[in-house]
Amino acid sequence: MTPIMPEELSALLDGELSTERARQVRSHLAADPSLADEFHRLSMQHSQWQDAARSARFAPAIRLPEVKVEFGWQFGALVGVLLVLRLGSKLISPPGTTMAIEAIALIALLIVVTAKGAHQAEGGA
Amino acid sequence: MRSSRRADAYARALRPLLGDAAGYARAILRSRHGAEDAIQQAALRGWERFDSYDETRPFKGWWFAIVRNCCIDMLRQAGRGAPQDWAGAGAFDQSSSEPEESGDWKALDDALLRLSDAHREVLRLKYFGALSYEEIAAALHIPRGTVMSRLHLARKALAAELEKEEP
Repeated sequence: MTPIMPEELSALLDGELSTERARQVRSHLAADPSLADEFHRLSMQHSQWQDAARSARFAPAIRLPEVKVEFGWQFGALVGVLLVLRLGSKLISPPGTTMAIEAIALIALLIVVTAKGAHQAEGGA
Repeated sequence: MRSSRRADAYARALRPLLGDAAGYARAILRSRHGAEDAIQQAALRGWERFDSYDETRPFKGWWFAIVRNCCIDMLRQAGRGAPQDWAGAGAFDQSSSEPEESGDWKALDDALLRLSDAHREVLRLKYFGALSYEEIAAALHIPRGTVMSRLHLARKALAAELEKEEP
């Protein structure tokens, strides 16, 4: 078995060793009382320091900028194309085809509104 | 930040870290009021830089590096000068209306002030910030192995300092 490095006791305490290495270190601790005492001392100190440090925590109130949604020229152009398609379909196509084209245009419009085609800019907090 | 989805992702990632970050900043600045300002600055700075955040790195480590820098900036603006000054100087300028900080955490951090900068840094991030080794490595731009060995030595140094205080 690989000898234990001193810092591996800290790492075991912090849960930062691999499962296999943690198992090996614990085996060493079980076989070596002085090492086990050192680990116990480290654990006690760790708990005390952890509790002390936690008393500094509090919940700060923070504000982040709002994200405004703006629509750029590309969106306007797409709407224009869809409207032209819709008008054109009414003029030249049978009713069934017109409905299909209108449905496709509406779905495409909904996709554009919710997807990356919208331009977004930051607003003030 | 161009996308509301990215903005939501940033806010969601940030929210669980605020308590730890507040405690960490409070330990550095010795002021709850100062810590709140530092966290607000860090939140905005992270917001501005989130598009450049490398998602292969731990977010907490990335953002705590920003928190740390904001605390340093505030200390410098308060006239604390170079890092060795802020590392050992003690309390950040508190407003007269703010009660002097006290508590178990302050006694712990008083002992940290007597350690080297390197030891104090890792212990603050570990205990006040509750960062993992990987996150500490990301925050301090050092290898994970260095965090492990440095933290162990720092703990021994802190224990020795606290033992000196015992009657």
